[in-house]
Amino acid sequence: MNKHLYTIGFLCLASICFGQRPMADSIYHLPAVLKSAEKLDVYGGSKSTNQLDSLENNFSDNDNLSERLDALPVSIRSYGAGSLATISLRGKGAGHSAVLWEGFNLQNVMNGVVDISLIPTSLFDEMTLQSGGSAAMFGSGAIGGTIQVGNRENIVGGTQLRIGASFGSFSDYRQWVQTNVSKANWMLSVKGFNHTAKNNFSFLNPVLPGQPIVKLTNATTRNSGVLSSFAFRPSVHHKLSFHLWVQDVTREIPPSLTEIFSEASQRDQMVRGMMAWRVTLDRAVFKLRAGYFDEYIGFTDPGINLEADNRSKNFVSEGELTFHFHPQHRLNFGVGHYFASAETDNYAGRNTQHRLVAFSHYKLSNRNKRLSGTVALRQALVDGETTPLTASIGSSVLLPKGFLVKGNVNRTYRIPTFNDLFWIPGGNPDLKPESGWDMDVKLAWHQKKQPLRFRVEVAAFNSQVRNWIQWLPNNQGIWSPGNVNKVWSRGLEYESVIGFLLNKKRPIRIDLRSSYALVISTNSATGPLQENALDKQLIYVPKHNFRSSLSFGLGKFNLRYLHQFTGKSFTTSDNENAIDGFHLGKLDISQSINSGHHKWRIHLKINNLWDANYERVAFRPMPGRHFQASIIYTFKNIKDNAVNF
Amino acid sequence: MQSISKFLMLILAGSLLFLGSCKEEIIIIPEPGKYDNGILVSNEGPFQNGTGTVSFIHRDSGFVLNEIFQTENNRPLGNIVQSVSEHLGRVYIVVNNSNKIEVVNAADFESIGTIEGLNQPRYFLGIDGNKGYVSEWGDTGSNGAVHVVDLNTLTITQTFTIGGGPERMLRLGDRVYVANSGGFGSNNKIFIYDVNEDLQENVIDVGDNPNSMQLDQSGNLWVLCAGNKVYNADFSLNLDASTAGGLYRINTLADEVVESYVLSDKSVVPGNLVVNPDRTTLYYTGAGVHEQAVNAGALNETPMLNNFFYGLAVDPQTGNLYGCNARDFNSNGAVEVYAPDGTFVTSYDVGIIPGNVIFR
Repeated sequence: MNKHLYTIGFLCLASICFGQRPMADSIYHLPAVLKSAEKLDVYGGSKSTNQLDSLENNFSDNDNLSERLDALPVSIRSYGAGSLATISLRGKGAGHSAVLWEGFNLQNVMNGVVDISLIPTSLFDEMTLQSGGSAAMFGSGAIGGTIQVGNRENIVGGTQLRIGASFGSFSDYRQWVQTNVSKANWMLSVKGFNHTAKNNFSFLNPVLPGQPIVKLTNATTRNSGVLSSFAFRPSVHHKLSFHLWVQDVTREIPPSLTEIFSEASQRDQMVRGMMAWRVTLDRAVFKLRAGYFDEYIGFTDPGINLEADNRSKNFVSEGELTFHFHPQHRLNFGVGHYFASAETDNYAGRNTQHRLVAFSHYKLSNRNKRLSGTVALRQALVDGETTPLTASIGSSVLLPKGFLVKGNVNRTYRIPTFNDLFWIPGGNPDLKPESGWDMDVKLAWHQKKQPLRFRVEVAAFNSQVRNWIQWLPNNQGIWSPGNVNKVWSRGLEYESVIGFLLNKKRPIRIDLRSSYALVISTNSATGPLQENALDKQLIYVPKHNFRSSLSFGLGKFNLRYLHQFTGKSFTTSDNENAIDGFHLGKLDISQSINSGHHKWRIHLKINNLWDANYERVAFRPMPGRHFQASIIYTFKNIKDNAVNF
Repeated sequence: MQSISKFLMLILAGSLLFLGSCKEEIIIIPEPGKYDNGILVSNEGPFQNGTGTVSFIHRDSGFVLNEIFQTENNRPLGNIVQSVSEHLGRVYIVVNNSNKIEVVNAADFESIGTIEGLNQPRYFLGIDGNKGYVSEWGDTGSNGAVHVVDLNTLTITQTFTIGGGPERMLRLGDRVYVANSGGFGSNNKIFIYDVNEDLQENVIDVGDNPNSMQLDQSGNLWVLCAGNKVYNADFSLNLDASTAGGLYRINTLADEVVESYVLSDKSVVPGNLVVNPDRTTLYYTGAGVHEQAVNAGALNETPMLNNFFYGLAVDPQTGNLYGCNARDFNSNGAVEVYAPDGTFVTSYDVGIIPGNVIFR
């Protein structure tokens, strides 16, 4: 029996590998533009992705990542405007989605999460949401999926400048600037932003006697930052690049509906730097990268006399060698060393961690690239202890008549956070990494028939995470984390686009997009005190998420209505308490004016158009109908004979 | 047409039958005074983003009504409902993180008013028709106070700032004893107030971090101390710096500690001292539930139950123990009832993080 399988397997491989004529010129050419999420671009062809950068074309440029992602049927746990927001992908927790900047994971080593409300989209050219487990490619934490942000290093020759400013309800002011200067063999890009808001919106407080309309207090935020990138190509084989991202956030923490007032505030300061050296040879690419990440979170609450300073530092270095020994084969190997340290009063003893990682990817495609397969392997040693060997296999097949089938099977893992390991009291240094598996399959169909264009995608996923870390009180009431739960997530995703484009003197565009996600994520095993949570939906994971938008464009005028429905989500593990589902509407109107190298655009946005009263986190009020107006100026002078790098 | 009506009649009859089969679950509590004959449980509610609740257990039927404040007043209580206390036909619901006490009519739970201006309040003790005492930790945990509250105007009339996390209060004659639990730090004092003059009368030193008190049959005051816990760099308890919890007996005529029993295990954090109806046996939580006869002469360190209870109470009518099982602290908890000999009697599903039980 086995023999037969081998034979069939060999024949399949043979038909892919040897069924082709040798190519006359087998020198592999680099793609014209290298994406910042290069690994995903090259080896993630079978993964489910959404381009976030193009999602808001013609509209918002000043969103934060949380606002941008809201146009997709994913669940965002937001504590309100200007407050903490985390994302749950495919039914997993906040710590199960990695945010990667230029390929480096930004998950905080102390608490394991990334606050996506702090990441402005104006700092990045490229943003991609990748759904589904991808720990073999991106490491610990990439269980539900990843969000990848970064900048193109285009050495194109020319100058580009973009400036934007907006003002909105509740004293919300945002300014941003993007500059890009490039000559024959170098480019410099500087992007900066500043965002201040009072967030003092009115809401109905159902807790107070008489249910009065009150204003949110202690909600002022100030967020500013700069990201600069420099790339230099000393010779045709070498490229050096440097990125530095500095950001400073001060925000007050507003009271929940059940608190009378709050004096709490939080300061976040980040310094993130990285450099890369890339050597491109005829059949190989060698990359060496190093990163330094310094993150400070200071929390102050005079109300309970609390001042907590948390600082973590990460040093990351990675080396990677890629072989293009045949146009249809690509193989890479890499090793990495990650060092993390944390300073806080809440830990004692050891508060550092060394991780050694080895990884390899292999991609195989047939000659016309209609069929491709990827295998990824990753092994990490955390302070000398092995973590699960993580592998993934994926394939993508382009069928006739515009059909595409993709599928993946992945192992996933997440190592415990520093808080899980070292917190006093209760931290559990004996915790094992969470580990699981994940599989998905996607069927896509697209068709173009001028002036119409259709795209329909349907995906199904099924995954499990074992040794899920849960904090529970012990028999003396001391909270401690344990590898106690098992979580089973499964669901369906649907997306369709119908486009209409009539290319006249003033082109007419109509776009109807709809997307829906069904996520069932339940505890299939629980700890001793969580019997009532068995087989219940995870908290703050709505089963239903629906988005639909209708946009209309005439020449340089654009109008869009976006409708969002987020289903009911449970707030307690026994599913006895829930917050209601809600419908939100959003209207965007924009008009551009072009004149030579110059372009102006004005944009008006109405959020929560139907003035819905809703909560994303229980007892955390959200703003009613509110407005934002912005103006964006673009200057672009890029040579036509540009060389992309 | 007629057949449709018949069909509808059949459905109606069927549903009535169905209702009939569920009849034993429908308890109609006669109004007024629908919350008179039963047990009140305060449930803290989820830590950050939630509201606490009060549950009512009907004594005869065992039927539980949850969220009765919300039901009667159409609004939630607020964040962290610490305790409930009954006094002269009213129930005082202490809402810790919302810095208030909601005052309701005990019979129907309709709101009478709110005592505001508090700072992390913990417990209420009614003194007479005109005043009550409130213990609170204060915003730092070291600027705790006892307030005298006018029960007619529901305003604070006097404040004793005493620090150290004032916790439970107990009245004996004209005196009120206040246990200073240490708040976020450490303290070892019992403050005594004269309720006629509203003056501090005396202070008694006991073990570290006293949190609860009971009177025995002979009029002795028993004080339960948690002990002060200090942790080492390697997550273990710093045994040198920590102190053990213990039980202290105070002669209330002399205001002196006359007997002290110190737990042998310093890691145990005892709390929730309660007494049986005869006032001969004390119970408290620690490493499980402990039982201590007041005249035993030695500490009984073998727990009678191994459960971890977040709160503990004794039914003055039956002597049964009511233990608050908060489960995972993020789902509805239970009140579990055990006979004095430790046999399980029954369990009631209540709200999130039940912590305080009173009997009416």
